[in-house]
Amino acid sequence: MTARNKKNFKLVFAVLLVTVALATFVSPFVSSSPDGLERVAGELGLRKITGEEPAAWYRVFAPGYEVGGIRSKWAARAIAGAIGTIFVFFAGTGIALTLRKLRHTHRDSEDRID
Amino acid sequence: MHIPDGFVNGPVNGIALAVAVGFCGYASRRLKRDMDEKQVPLIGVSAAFIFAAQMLNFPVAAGTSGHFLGAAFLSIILGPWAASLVMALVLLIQALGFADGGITALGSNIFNMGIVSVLVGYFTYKWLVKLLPPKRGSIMVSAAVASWLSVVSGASMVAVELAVSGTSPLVVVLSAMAGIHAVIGVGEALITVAILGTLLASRRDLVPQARRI
Repeated sequence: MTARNKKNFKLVFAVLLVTVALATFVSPFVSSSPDGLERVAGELGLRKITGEEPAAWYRVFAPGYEVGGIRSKWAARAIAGAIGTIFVFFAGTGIALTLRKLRHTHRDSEDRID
Repeated sequence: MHIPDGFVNGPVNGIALAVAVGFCGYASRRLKRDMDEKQVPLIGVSAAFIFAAQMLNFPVAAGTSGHFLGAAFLSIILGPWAASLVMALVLLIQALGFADGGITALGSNIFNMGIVSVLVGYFTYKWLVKLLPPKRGSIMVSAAVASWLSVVSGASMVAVELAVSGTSPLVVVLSAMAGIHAVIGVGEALITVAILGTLLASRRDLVPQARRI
């Protein structure tokens, strides 16, 4: 591992740690006021114009960032935040690794043509 | 500004989804070609960071909250292609796993926050940095203006979609959305500047335009 890779690895690890900590320990205590769009929808009295809802067979993992079946609201949010953040990290890294791999495959085939 | 189910109609979301899929496809191709080795770990951790940061609602005007969007910040650090893909990924997981933003509004949400906010943020920053003298303060001012505009433009796009869907008259919903997000955008600008300042102090190699100062 080169020095620069090591430096980047350390940064990624540190940021990931802080991020998971924020999602786990801070997110249960944030403002629960309506956000900008919800506020506007409430003030203007906007109503749903379509009856479309996600299919009934589909069960959302943690609606509103709260894992179901847990009595403590704090814990429900903390668990949702931690799992979500780690999941997004692996999904994002997966996409980046896939794109890098595709590039190398592409380059290899170009080399062969040459 | 995640639109829930039922507020935009099928055609509006369908068109937005088609544009979003096309744009993400193009972004993937561009990123595949131009990606820097050091971006690989950064993309994953940025996505995780944006997801977590979007959970942290801060109070703004009385009885309203806002949260960090991150579109402009991502575009400054990773460029527009990676930024769009990261935003699209976060929005997809938010909709499917957390019911934050409707599944039938996913196209609109990716279009607003993953394309409009990212591109507005990216070009505003790029253009301002070029225009202003090469100083640390210029990077900060450019980032602040870019993040404010990225939030207000995304929110305005929400208003346009709601109006076209027939949910509300354009003038009414546009002024309300732009108005409240002009305030939330100040929070966005402050957070972006704080993170960028930390990066400039500790890892300036991660801020592409830092070479100029």
